[in-house]
Amino acid sequence: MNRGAALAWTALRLTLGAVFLYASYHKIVTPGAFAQEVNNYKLLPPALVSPFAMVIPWLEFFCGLALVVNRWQLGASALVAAMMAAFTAAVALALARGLNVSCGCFKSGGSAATWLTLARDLALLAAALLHLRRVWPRKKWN
Amino acid sequence: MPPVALSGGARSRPPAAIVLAQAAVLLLLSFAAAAARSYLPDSIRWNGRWPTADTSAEQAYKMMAQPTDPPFASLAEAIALHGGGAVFIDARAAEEFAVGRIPRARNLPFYDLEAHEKAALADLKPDTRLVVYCEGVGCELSLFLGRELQARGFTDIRDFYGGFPEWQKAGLEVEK
Repeated sequence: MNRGAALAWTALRLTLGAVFLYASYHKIVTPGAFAQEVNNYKLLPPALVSPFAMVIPWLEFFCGLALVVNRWQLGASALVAAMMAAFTAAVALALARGLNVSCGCFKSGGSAATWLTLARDLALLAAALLHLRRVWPRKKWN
Repeated sequence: MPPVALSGGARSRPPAAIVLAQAAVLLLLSFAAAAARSYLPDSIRWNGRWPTADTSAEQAYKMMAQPTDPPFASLAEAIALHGGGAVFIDARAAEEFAVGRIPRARNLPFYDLEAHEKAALADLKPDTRLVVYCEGVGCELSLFLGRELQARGFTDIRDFYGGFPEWQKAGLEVEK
């Protein structure tokens, strides 16, 4: 692979990792605010809102960290892609149902969930899938 | 065939197994970190409850508000405050405000503060009695706006947490 392409892949991996590390920070610091935002999406059963709001920020953190330090790329990028698929679906459902919810993406009360949020989530989902495809072993294993 | 070098050190397992193994470890780490975090005083509880459609406004306010937030105002209190000349501030988006609002309320959309701030607040004194509201249970904009108003020096704020839906449902006058 040429140098430019390798650099582009590294930039993609680092950007994705940095976005997830940043996204995890405020949620880890203020779990109550994040739980409120999760609850406002009205998607999870009430009993699951708190566990989700407590664990997902850490999953974002560890996956972001793994991407940045270039370890466990298969597991981390698969989880990042799964999370982005879930977040994208949540925002799409909120928009479709006309809910006026705070995004809950980065900082509490930071911005509303809008079509722009959906576009950004789709871009991140695409980036995660591209990265997963890139780190997926190409040769047969046996 | 030379062994395929895989991240994680596995050399002969199918990629899907590696994905699952690594994902499981990352998930376990996350649960462990969340469990450790839960011992800090500002943590939420694993079995914490959040407002749903059948939560009353007062219960929901108690679940959502921080101790420093403007105090809760019930519907009866909101009616009395309205009659007493308190300034009502609607934290919802301009489009929702246009559809219907509490009479004489001013619109200060939380997500568009800068554009509306001057028109909504310029003539108010720091001790003017304010009532913030939004779309009732499930809407946190009035809480966020209350915090912003506190930060701007307003000292007499209430949060009519039942918001516009409760006002409308009670058959009270609505301005369009």
